[in-house]
Amino acid sequence: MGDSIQSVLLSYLYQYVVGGIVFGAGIWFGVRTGQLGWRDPVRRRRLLLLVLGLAWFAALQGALLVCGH
Amino acid sequence: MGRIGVLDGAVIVVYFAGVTIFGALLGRRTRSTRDFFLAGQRFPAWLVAFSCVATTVGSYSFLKYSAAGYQYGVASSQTYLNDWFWMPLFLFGWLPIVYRSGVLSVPEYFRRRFDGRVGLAATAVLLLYLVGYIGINLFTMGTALQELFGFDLFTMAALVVALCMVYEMTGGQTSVILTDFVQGGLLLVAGLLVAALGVARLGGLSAFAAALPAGHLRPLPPFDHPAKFSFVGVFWQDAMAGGVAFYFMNQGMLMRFLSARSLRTGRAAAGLVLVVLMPLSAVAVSGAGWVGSALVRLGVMDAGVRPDDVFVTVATLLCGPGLLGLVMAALLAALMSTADTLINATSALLVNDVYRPWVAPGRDDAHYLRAARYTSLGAAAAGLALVPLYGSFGTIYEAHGAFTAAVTPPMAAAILLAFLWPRFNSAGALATLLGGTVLVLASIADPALVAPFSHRVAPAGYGFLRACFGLAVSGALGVGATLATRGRPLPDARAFTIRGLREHPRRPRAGSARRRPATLWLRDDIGPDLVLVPPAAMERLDLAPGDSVFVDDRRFWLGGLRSVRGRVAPWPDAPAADALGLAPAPAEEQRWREGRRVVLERLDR
Repeated sequence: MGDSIQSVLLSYLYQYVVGGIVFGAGIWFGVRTGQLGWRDPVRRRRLLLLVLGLAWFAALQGALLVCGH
Repeated sequence: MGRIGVLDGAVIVVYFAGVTIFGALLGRRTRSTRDFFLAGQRFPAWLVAFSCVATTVGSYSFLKYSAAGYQYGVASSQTYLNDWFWMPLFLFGWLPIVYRSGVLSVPEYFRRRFDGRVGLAATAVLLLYLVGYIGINLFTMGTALQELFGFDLFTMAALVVALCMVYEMTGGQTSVILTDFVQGGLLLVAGLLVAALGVARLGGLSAFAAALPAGHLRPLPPFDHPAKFSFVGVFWQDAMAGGVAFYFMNQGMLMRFLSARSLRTGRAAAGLVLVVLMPLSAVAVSGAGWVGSALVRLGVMDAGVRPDDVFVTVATLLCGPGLLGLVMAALLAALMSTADTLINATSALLVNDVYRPWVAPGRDDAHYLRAARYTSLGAAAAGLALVPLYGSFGTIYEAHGAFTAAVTPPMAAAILLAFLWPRFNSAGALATLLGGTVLVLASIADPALVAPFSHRVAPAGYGFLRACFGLAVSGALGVGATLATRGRPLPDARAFTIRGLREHPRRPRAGSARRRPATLWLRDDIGPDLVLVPPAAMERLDLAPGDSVFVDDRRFWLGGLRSVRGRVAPWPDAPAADALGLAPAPAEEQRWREGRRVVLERLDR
């Protein structure tokens, strides 16, 4: 595992770009079906929780990426 | 006795006896197929979530991820941290469609979304997959118990089946969820305990981090190497195909989320699993491997340990007698909780997708409940019959692994296309399921087919990238066949797609309370499914006549075991503002007397 940080960084970016497309598609469908949104407080809370969940994993793995180097 | 001492053996025996009695006692009030398969749809989010952990952390998890953690460090947690991408589609696409349409299984979804042929194809594929999986779990468990106690493999596997069947046949899903709750808690505690003991032995977190080999703190492996643990291979196998397989296709998980008391509760359970319990599980199953690599580096542990043995070696080194028994019980609990979930799921498929529609339609629910109990037994017996086969022929064991890898991507692609693309028709679904499976099997025979999807990973890692190949070719076959044929989906099939959610939106209710305490009054002039509520309370909870409500015991820790589900009706002349009227029969079943304080909860409209 003595590989360069670039290879692991590529893994991180690939994961969040490809995963982000899947995640974004889900958000789009959620908005289109009226379950997620910004104006209504319940829909806004759902949207924020989803995005915060993704941010939590991105931050957790990002922090390990920085510390692990 | 085998490898463990008398005290540890006693701990394991007492634990399993306790879990079996616990499951059988608490599930004894199962009265209908809804109870047997969906536990009466009464469980809260925390109970569903913890029981999901026991199913998630199944066969091999401790051994496999500890081995990966020992070899590659924190990157072994990747599998447990990358499911979140699917959550918007799962929570706001698949789950509401399944919940509102009332389907119980993926084949039933396909049958109603397309036609009987697609449903039958999905049933056949899933049954083969599930029964084979039960056999693998029993084989693994029998092997582990044989090592620990020294009895022969088949006897130990049969003993495990007998224990599972004691509570599974009595209480079905209720017993499965409650025992899995206990088993999930135990395996989390035991895994985290081993990791914590190791960190303490190393002198704290800083010393542990300093003792890890170079690069072992990185959260992800390098992009395209090593072939057997490259990032891109694990990502496509576990996050993409595995994520859909686990949350969308896995019959056991589907029934688990449907056992939640409402769609909202199911969503909360999924969130709790993903955000809190999966990261904890990642540490629990991998921690021994991380600690092991640090201990080896400091010379505390023998460097010659095999990666697959690292969990048991580290646990034996760090835990004293008694505690080691508890850790071993957790290891076995992980296997047993997966086996019981699979048995219940297989029974649901056999009754719901084979027996009810094709063999004996139109019977009463008591008949199907009896059938469910017998099919549970049959599913367990079929799994048990595979144990000697797996033991005798390693190739069959490998063939099942190949079959699982072949089935998952086409099924995942078919589910996604079915609910996201209303135009997707039965020809497309059959092409995806059958054509995709054939092509993935062909790629196992000729791995060169995977090469265009290899992402520069060496051929030794094509097994992982097969998921990428499978999703791409299955999806392409489905889209091509749908566009090439004129067959249109049935008109009411729209209800099973994202378009159905758009056409019949359910506005979230903001600003009103969802739960309120109430005092029970018994009324013998109403039906058993009615719940009388004063108009003022209905207004406060934003309830309309006919809405679904849930009357729960005030003791939240009972997890909905004492609860009643019903339809609300206004009670204008209620004796008190907080009164709640219920027929005597459902109240007596919960051992509630008049005047008891309960909690009234609004369910999704």
